[in-house]
Amino acid sequence: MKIITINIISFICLLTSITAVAEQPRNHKILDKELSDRMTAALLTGNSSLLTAAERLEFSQIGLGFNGVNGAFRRPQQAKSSQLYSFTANGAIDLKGYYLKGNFKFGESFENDVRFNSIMDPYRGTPYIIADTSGGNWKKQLYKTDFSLASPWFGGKVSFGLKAGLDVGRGAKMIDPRPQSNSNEITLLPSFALRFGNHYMGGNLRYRRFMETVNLILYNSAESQKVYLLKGMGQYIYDIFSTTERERRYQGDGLGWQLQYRYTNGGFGVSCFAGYDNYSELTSDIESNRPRQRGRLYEDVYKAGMEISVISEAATHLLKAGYDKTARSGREIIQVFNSSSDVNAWVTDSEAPRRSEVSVSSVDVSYNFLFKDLETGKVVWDAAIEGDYTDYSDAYPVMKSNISYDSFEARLSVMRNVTLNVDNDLQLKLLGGIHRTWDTGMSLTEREPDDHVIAEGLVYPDATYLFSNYFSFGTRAAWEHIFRNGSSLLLSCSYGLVRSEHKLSRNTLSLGAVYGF
Amino acid sequence: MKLLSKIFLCALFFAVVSCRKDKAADEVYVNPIELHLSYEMFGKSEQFSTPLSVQLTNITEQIFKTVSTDLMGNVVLDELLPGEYTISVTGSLTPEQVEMLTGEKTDKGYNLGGFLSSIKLRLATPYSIEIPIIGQIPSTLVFKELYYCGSRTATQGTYRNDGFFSIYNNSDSPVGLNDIYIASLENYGGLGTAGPLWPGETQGAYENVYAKTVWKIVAGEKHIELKPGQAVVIATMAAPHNLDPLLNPSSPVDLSNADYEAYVVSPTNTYTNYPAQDMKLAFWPSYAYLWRLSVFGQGMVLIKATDAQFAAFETVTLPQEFQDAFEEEEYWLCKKIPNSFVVDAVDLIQNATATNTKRLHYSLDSGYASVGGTYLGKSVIRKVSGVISGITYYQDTNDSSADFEINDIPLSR
Repeated sequence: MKIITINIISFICLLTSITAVAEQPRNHKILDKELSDRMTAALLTGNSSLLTAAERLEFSQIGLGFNGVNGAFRRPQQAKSSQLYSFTANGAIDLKGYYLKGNFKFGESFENDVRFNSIMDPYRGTPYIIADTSGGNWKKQLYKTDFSLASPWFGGKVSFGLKAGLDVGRGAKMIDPRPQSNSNEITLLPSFALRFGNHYMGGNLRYRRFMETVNLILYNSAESQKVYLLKGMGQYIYDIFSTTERERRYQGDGLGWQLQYRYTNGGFGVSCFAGYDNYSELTSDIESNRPRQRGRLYEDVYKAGMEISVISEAATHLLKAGYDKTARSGREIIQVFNSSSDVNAWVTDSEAPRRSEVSVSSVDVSYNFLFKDLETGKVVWDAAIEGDYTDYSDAYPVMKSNISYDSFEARLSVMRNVTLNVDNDLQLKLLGGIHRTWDTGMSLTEREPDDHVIAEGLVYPDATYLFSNYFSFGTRAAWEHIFRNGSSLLLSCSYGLVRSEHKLSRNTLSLGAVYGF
Repeated sequence: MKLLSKIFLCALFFAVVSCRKDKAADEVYVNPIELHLSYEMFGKSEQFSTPLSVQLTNITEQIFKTVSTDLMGNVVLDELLPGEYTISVTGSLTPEQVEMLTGEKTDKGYNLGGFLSSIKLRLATPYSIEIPIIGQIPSTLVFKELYYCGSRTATQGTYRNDGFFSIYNNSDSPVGLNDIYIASLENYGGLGTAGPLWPGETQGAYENVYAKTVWKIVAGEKHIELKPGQAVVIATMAAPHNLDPLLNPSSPVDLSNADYEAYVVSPTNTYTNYPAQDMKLAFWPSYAYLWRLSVFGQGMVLIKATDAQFAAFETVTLPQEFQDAFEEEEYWLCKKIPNSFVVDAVDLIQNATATNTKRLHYSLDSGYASVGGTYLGKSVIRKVSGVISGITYYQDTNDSSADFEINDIPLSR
């Protein structure tokens, strides 16, 4: 905790000091920055050296946020309701040609009625989760910090960059068995960019290291609890948890790469990228002070995308397309206990590959039309149409258990920027969408003939959620005020509703206040 | 620029070769295993009268499978997932087959049993498994009922002072009790894992039992015998548990009529000494006044030995490397008793998937008994095999998995 606190304080000092050393003209407008982020999102997916090729917007922002979610339309391991309170600090500065950008976020969340889960994020990809039946309320703290550094163009042709991030999470459930989880993730993305006239090429590596430890504690050890050691697609082995504490550890690392290309000519720009990430994570239990390996997750992520922008005085057209494929497999490690006095430990006897197999492929296409005020150059209207196609499959072939579906989601949004006067802007946004699934299929072989807890509490409700057709609606209102000293304040409020064909709904309310200086 | 190209190519190469893949295996099941079981001439030159039953437990996956052999003892084990297995075999010989074997006329058949533990089956590996089968005449004195898991109180608290064991004369002749001991075996090690391997023993085939607590049932010299069909009840605490509001009215049992009680005679023992006969504490170095079994179960044995024989049993200490520094030295002491002194044995284990925690040799118990949970207020009880001349005989095939069933109301039968 001390290290985290020192990191937080150092980071805030860094962000506030940016203002002091900045000498160049600054644009404090928060809505402008939001637009800028959207315009460069495809280009900057991991390559901070390409910040050199984008508009070097300097800014300092701090913000407070609230995000509340509730409703019955949810996956079974998600909270029935949750409240997240957050503090953010972001900033960027150009230091003699070196562009430095940093983000910090602290969040404290209260998640109510979470079931079948013992880790910070049950949907992060691992099939190896210890599930209990008691459920309960979680309290979590999240710390996210990252910085990106881009060098100047050396010789006018080459730039280097580095992005680094640290995510720390702590969370605990308040009822037996009580998981207390600590997670840490470090990411490092060294990058480079080359410029040949209007052509930019870049590449970056991505290294990721993750660790999560979960201590399950029984305050009332006299009352033993059945826990399910999930392995994927409703399969598990169980254990009677009766000691006061047991520990599970997840440790993984991964390496990936991405290549980017960008061409600009006047108002025309085209960007594209392709990348691959490989990740492997070992799951172990600590039983009677002896580590026992349970399984290893293998994850491959393939990503590609492109973006075409046509910018004129009157309008901007933005066309995006992306492809994303994630393949995960779970390799179970069969360990046996060697009780001889010279070993007295769990040793690996063999491994069972590809027990759990998950594949998610998606294609998304979107078109944005941004209409500008010819006098001010400000974006007045922003209309977008988006479509996502997803092909999902989760299988545990040995036990003849699988679930699969195809889905398509279409979204339409319209945003209106209104200049109230010189110092005040108002932004209103409406969006709606529909989600349709087809080719749904499911088969489950239950592990125990007389225990249907996992099947009825986790697998079947999840299938109902995943197979659901639903529509979504959302709205956002944001008001920005520019103070006389040039700083600005943005107050925003957004509401989202998702309602399924089963008449189940999910509501999201977000409130935010951001001060830019 | 050449340098940059090299750096880029090296980085790309590094990224690609660093990929770790979960390569699929050619098969998901282990190679089929042709198993042949025989006992003396049966399974070789003679057929068994009934197929042998083979129970496989994949401890790793918690999967159970039961198959039967043909009459010559052959069976193919297929569609087995890799993992650590226990295999138990049960069967029987008719009195006529025993007569063929011994050449002597008899009206008693044999129980056949075999057990192998710690069998590691892997993919793409050929296996040849031999399971030795033994035949035994059923015991005369048997455990009829064992209640060890404890009960809940009205406020959902836990209570485990109400344990008991009933011992039954399952033969057609009187059996003396004076040289009979009842013992609970060591249960060191973590839950769900095989216990420590004692020096000189083979995992799954112990030649001795290692008792933490031993009681001589009859404390005095007066000759006590059980008639055929007669039982005695041995209580942890011979109290009216479900009648006394100060005990546990939610307990399923009233043990005030128990025959014997495990009462530790000591000036510092503040527990009530109820009217039941006190057994004689023969061995319990780390005694704690109340002889309460683990609610997850422990191996239980009946031992027949003279005082001199019992005195000759060795007291052994668990090897240092298995010991937990937080326990006193006495905690690790056990009485080492050869299997040949064991009259009856029941391996009580946590649940059906914990067969790797079995301590007993298959010649003592090729299976296990379990209520499958803790504080359930249930017992395990032997199944009735028949009634002859008004005497009830209980099933004793030397396989507790087959011989016992769960009794929802202990002491009700």
